[in-house]
Amino acid sequence: MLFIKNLFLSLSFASLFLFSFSLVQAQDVGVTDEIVYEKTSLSKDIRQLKLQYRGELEEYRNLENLYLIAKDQYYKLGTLASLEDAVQKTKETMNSRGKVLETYLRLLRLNLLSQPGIELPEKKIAEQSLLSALQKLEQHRQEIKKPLDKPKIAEISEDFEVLIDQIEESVYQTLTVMAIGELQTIHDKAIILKHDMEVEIATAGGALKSTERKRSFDETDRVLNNLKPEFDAVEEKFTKPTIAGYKEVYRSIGNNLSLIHSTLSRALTFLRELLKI
Amino acid sequence: MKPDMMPDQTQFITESPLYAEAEVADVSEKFLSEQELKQRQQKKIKRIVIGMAIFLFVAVSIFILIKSRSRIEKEEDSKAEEIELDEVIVGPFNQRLLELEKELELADPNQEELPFPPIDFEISLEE
Repeated sequence: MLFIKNLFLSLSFASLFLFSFSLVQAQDVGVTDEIVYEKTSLSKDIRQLKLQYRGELEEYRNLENLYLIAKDQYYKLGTLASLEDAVQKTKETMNSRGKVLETYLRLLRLNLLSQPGIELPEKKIAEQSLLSALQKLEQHRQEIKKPLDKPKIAEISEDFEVLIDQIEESVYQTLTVMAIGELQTIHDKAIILKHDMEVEIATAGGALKSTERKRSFDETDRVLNNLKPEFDAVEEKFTKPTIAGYKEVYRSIGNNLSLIHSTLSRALTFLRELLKI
Repeated sequence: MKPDMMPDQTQFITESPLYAEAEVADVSEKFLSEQELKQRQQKKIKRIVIGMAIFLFVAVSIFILIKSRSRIEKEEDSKAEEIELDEVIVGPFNQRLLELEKELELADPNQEELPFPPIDFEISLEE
């Protein structure tokens, strides 16, 4: 009787465990699906925008060549017909340039949104800056669509010189935050991977191997920890940009990022070696 | 009658102790000379040493055999453990590491994925 009771109890526990396990699995699958779906949809948009951007850039180059020829003709001939042609080609080239920039900014925004490892406030600020630049660019293109003459073209050209400074600021702010975030994510993942490996394989394979592995893990740890001051330095430059703006910040952090990249590469080589010990 | 047979059997019985073979072992040590005693002791020691040597040889052989067998077993165990380590543990880590290496390759700061568009900032009709 006691045996049957025990059997029944153990069967009940086993079925309860299996049921809860299947629920957890189902939840996991749901969450993963959602993430995958989001990523896939963004990467699909990015792919489409990239194709559009390449096409528009190609079109711009062709129009730019025609504009340069028309401008040259106007200065050589000085006729009304050549002026009309030059105005028309300038207008088309300006519009095409605006389209290229617009698509580029949209592409950059999607890349920013799809990239993990960037702190949300920083991501929001960079996105707002891109959206503001896009809005101004749209207004600029509306101006180009209006009937133009030589003085109006000169006015729009001057306006664009101011606008392009703002666009460059937004673009380099985004490129900087993305470059830092990309390497920061890899750094974080490398630390987690090293930790997981340490937990799983540190003691495997006998005492001799354990000692060797311990030394290797310590060395990898040192390499990864040495990157923290480098990241702090880059972050400092980003949060306190000089008067020259984010274009200068992006240029100046190049060396720091290269150093971080090569150090991360060394740490990953260490981890690969560790798997072979 | 055979020539080597004694006709008088009574005489044979009385003389029989004379025909019996003298047993060396039974001879009391006190009847042996000093040299004979020494020889006897040396022989004994020799036998003991040889016996000990044979015993030691056999014991050492058995010990080596057991030791080598256990070492082979240990090696086989550790090999099996390593194979297990490779397949079960290292596999997923290898995959994660591979993904990280790919990500790092794409994150090379010297290779810009989205450089600023190469456009003319000063399009105008002015010279």
